[in-house]
Amino acid sequence: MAFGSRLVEVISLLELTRQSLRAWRSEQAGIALGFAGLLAVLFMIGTDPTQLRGVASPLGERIASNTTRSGPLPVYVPDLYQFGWTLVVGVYIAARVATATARDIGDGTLELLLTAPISRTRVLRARLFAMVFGFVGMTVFVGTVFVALSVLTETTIDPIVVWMIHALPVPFFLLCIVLGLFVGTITDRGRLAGLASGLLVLGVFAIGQLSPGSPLELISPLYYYDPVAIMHGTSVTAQQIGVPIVVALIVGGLSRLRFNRLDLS
Amino acid sequence: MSSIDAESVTKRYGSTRGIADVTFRVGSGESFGILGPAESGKTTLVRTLMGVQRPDTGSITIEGHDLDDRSSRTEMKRSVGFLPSSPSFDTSRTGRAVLEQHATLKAADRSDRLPVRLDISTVLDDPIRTYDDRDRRFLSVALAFMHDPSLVIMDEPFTALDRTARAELQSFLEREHEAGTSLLLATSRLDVVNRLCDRVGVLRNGHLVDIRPGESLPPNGGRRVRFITTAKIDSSDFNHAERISTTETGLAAENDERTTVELFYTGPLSELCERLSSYPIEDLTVEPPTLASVLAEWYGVRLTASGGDQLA
Repeated sequence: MAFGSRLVEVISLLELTRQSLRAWRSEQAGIALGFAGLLAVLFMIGTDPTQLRGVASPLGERIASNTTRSGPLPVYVPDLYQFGWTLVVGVYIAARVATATARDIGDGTLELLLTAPISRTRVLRARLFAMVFGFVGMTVFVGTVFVALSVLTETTIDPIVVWMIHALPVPFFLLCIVLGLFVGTITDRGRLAGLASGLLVLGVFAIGQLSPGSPLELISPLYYYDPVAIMHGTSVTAQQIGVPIVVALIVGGLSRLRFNRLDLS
Repeated sequence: MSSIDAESVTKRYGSTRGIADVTFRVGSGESFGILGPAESGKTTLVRTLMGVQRPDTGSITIEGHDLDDRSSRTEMKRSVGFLPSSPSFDTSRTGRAVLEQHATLKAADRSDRLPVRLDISTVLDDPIRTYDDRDRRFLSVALAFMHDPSLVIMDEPFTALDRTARAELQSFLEREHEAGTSLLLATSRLDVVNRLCDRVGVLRNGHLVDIRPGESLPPNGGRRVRFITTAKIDSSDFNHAERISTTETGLAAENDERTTVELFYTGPLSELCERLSSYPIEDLTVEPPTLASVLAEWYGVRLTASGGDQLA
C-alpha cells in the first residue's frame, strides 16, 4: 500500500480515537479522581496502626498480613484494588464501549461516519484504542497518586509491587473492552447493551469465586490478581495473564467479524 | 468507465422484500434518478450501493471498485459522496466539529468553501441540535461534496425542505453536475428527477421495471387535464391525449348536458389550447401529475395505502 494511503489511514484512526477519548474523558477523570480520593482517605486513616487497632482488632490483624518487605500498606487498600478498582473500571469499560457501539448503530451516526473512507474495522479499532488510552491514563494517574500518598504518609512500598498492583488488571480490562464491543454489535439499543455487558463483566469476575477449579475461572481476575499475595512476593505466571489476553483476542476477532457483516438499517 | 455498474442485485430482510434483481448502469458524468413511491426499495438500493448493507446476490462496481471486496469498498469512498435520507448527527457537537472531523477523514479540500456556498457558515459554531431542517440538510450536503467526489449518491435529498431551500439545493446540484460530478438520486419527487436527471429508473416493489430518459417524465412527459364542457366531445380532436374519460355530471341548463373530461396530455400546450378553444369550456385545470397517477398511466397500477403499488 502506498505510503500516502497508509498515512491517511493512521490519521483517520487517530482522529476517530481522539473523538471517543474526548467523549469519555470527563467520566474517566471522574472515576480516577473518585478512586484517588478513596485511596487518600485510606492512606490518611490507615497508616497509624495504633489508631486502627483502636478501631477494631481484626483490622490490626490485616495490617500484619499486609506488611510488605518495605513496610505496611493501609488496610482495605488491597481490597479496594481487587474488588473496587478492577470491578468498577471493568464494568465501566465494558458498559461504555457497548453503549457507544450499540447507540452508533441504532441511531445512525455510524452510517454517517461510514460515508467517509474508513473501514468498520478501523471504527472498532479506534474505539478499542480510545478505551485503552483511557484506562492507561486512569491507571497512571491513580498509580501516581498511590506513590505520592506513600511518600506523604512515609509508607515505603517496593516499586515492583506498586507496578504489579496497577499493571496486572490490564489483561482483564482488555477482556472487558472486547466483551463490550461484542455486546454492542449484538443489539442496537444502547442502554440494553450497557446493562448486558456490565452484567457479563460481573459474571466473569464472579466466576473466580463461584466455580473455583473450573476452566472458566482462568478468565476471572480473582484467579491471578490478589494485591495481598503480590505484596507477599507471590509471582504471577505467564499462563495466568495469558488466558484473559487470548480470550480477549478471540472475542475481539468475533466482534470484528460480526461488526463487519452487520447490515445497518 | 461507468460510475455505477449494478448487476442482478438482490437484498431481502428475512422474508421481507428489499430489492430484487436490480440491474442498471450510470455513466461517468451522468445524472441518474431512481424514482419510486415509499417502500418501493429506494433506500435499500442506496444503502446497498453505500456498502452499509450487503446484497444477498449480485455484484456492484462503483467508480471501478468492487463492493464485494472490503478494502476496495473503503477505497471507493475517497471518490464517492453519500447523502443519506436522514443523516444522524451527534447533535451536541457543532457543525464545524463534524465538518472538521470528516475533512480529516476524507482529506477534503473544499470544507472551507462549501459552507459559504451553501449558506451555513453562520451557524457552524452552534450545536447541531439548534439547526433547522435546512441547515441540517445542507450540512450533510457539505459532508457529501466536501472531497470533490466524482459521484454522489443521494437518498431523498429534498425531504423536509421548503420551496426556497429545495430551489437552492436543486441549483447547487445542477452546478455540481455541470462541473462533471455524476449523480445518483433516489426520490419520489417527479419535479426533481425531471429537472436534474438525464435518465430515470423506475423502482416498483423492489424491481427496477423501466429506465426512461429524463425528458420523457412529467411535466414534460405529460399533464393531467380536466375540463368541463357543454359540447359533445370528439376524441379525435386530441392527438396527444391518452386515457380520455368523460363523465356526464348533470344538466347545466335545460337540454344542455354538462360533461367532465379528464385526459393525460403529452403534446405541446399550445396545441391543447387551440383544440380547447373550439369547445365551450366552463372550467379547466392543467396540472403536473402525481407519482401515483404517472405510475397508473405507465403501468396500470395503483398505489396502496402502505406506499407499495399493485396491479390495477
